Amino acid sequence: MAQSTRGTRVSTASAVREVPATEAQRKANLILRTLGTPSVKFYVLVTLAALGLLWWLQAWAFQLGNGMIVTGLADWGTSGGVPWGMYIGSFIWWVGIAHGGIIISAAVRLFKLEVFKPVTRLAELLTISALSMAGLYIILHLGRPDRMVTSIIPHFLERVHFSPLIWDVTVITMYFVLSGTYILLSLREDIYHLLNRLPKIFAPVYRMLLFAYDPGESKKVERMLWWLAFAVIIMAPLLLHGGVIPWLFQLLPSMPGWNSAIQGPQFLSIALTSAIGSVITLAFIFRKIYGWKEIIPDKTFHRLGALLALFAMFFLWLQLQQIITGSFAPTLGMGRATDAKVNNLPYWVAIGSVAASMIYLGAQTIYPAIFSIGRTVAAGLLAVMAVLLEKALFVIEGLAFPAFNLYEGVPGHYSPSWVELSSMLGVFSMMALFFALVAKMIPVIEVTEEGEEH
Amino acid sequence: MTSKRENPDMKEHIGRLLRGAQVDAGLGQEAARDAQRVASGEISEAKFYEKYHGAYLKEFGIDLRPESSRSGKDELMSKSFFKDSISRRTLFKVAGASAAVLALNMWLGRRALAATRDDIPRVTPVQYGMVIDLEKCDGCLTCVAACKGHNSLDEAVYWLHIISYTDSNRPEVNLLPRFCNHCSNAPCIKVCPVGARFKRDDGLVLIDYDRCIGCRYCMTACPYGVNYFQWTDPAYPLNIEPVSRGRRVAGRPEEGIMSKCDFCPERQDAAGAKGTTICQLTCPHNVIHFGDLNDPQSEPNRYLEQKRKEKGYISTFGLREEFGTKPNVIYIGQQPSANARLAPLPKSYESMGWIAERKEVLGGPQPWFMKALGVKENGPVH
Repeated sequence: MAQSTRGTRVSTASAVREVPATEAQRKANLILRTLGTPSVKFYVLVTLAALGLLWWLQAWAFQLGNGMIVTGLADWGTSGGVPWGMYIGSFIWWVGIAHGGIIISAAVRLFKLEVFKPVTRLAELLTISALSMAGLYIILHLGRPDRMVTSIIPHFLERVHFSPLIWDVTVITMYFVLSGTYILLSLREDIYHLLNRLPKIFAPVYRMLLFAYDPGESKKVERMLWWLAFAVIIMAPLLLHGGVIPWLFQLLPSMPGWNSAIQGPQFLSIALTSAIGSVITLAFIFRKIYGWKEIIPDKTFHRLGALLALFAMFFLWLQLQQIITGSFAPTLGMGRATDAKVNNLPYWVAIGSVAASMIYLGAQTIYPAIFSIGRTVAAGLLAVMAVLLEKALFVIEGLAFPAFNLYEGVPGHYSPSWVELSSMLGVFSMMALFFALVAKMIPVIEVTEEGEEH
Repeated sequence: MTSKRENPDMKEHIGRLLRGAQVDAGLGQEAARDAQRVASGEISEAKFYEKYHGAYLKEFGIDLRPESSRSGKDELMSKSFFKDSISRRTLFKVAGASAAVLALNMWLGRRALAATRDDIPRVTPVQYGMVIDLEKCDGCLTCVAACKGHNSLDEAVYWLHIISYTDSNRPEVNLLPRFCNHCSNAPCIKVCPVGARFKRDDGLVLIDYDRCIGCRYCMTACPYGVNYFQWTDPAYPLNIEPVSRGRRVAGRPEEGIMSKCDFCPERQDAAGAKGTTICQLTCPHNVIHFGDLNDPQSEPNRYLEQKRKEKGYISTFGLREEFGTKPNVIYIGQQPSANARLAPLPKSYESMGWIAERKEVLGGPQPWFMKALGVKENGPVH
């Protein structure tokens, strides 16, 4: 252990001290700073995240031991409850955030928008981790998570053409595999070229990642990456967040708040808003910690902000479509659902936040003189949190106002319990741990190309 | 290669000025020199563009020099790994393959659509169902009590629930017992991700307690709100045989699983009990008529016929038929209108010692840290 730690220190120290021959090498050194010896702050972060994770694990154990009764959920109908709540809302939220990776990668690889290049790998890592969190929320939501394998896999083929929930499982798995392959392929090249500058302590990981790697394959890999990006840019927006995720809800006529053909584009616009917002936030955190002002320049944030403003505009516009349809001459159920929505303060908090974010980022796009990195990140984060609120409200309010309302328990009511709220702390802690550890293992910005050209 | 127009002193001066800038000054000076050469015709515009394109992208992230200076299509091609040209033969091949894929998709799509619409058996050899005579129900709750006891249901779980309402032009209290409709086109069966919800060939829509994963999608898909989730361990032991035709489907389930009115499947194969349900047997007012709706001679169908003869006319309805669920509980009487409003039951659930809204009893045990803090536990609110 002592020896390997020393090895790490030596390799990174030499990486930093090496006199950079070119601009590109200097930048590569900056990028590789993440791999250096962890600072005290790093240990503090990891400890706090581990504590957050532990807190949630005991909350989850409490739920597994006592049943779903420890959530704020209940049956709709006679029971006055809402059967899907924060777990499903968070599930949608994380899947939406996971769209950042592919949007950025496709922008760079397919549309040659080089300005986004510095954040591609961070965005891809965000995709992989956010998708994992989404999957976790499905497990948290189930009454019998122990049957995930024994019930789903044997009956997959007989259910895949019926149940929208199985469509979701299928498409999310596909997305995970494609994104994972994508990041792995692009990572192998980087690791191969930088191998002697990476911390020796993780050597077995690198050996595993480089399994059967051949430097001559880079052209082929480039082609594969292009096709992967091409496949995912079609699948993820049109089939995942513009498809099977909204279909979970919109295909059910029993819940008039959900049953609308606009949910596909609506979900997609919301997902993309939160995806870009979270890429902005994540990139800013890394830039701040590692002093990456020139690695992730202002213009990258400026352009990401412009993209967010555009998606947020679609988000608001599609909300308008729903409200106008639900207000002008609605059927009774749809009218009740719309009334409940527009008379709910949290809904307007969410919409107002997205609007504020859109207006500022839009203005900054048109008039770059008002650009400020701090405000851009604040606007991005605001949009991400607004989406979480909107997603939770969408699920809960949809179920609180069913078409059949001759019940004392309708409209139902719901507020998340401490167990459900603890899950938020748990997943945020896991995300922090993931990025803290990954940053110590691999370069989180692509470096190979720059290093090679000189 | 310096141009003769350049003054060495000036160059140094500019260099000093540019050194303070955040961009690569050397690149700018070099490009400026070559721009002069473009003006003098020494090099072509295209060559100039190409020479600095990479460097510009690296330095500025973007190269916005005018399109005209690019060498046309070649510039576009240079960034793509596709071949420079496509032969007519390839083009035909691609077109042919695309047409074939399109045709296949149309065929597959039509099949998939047909499957999602029709694969669920709409017509079973036997379709158990009910005819409910609303004119006779007085809300005595005998059937509800029988159902709760028979199936060992938890507090505030009502597989069979009596809705009581007043309506426009019908100010008196109207009663409507709500069962599971055992739909012929059940949305709960469609959405179940594991096939735990299924329809038997006697028409019963049941839950396989050994397969259900407790996702509660059936509860969101059902327009009637008949589903109940077992939020915690059941309060009462089961007194009936849960296994029917090889699957565990009857009575209340264990924690984490869905349940609902099941038309007493354990009775439907038992000699002597076949064709009966507990609620029907215990109803003192002959409201519930259970039997095979496909059979014109069954008890419910004979009852309909007799009623029609007695009154000369008959008004029947199924709940929310506009959802296309094809419910199998037929009500004799008037359908609640859009103006129907809830009214107190003649005999309240509270008077029976029951809790009306399950939300009131759902709270769960107190977590350890609350106990540690000395917070007193709240009992169920009544």
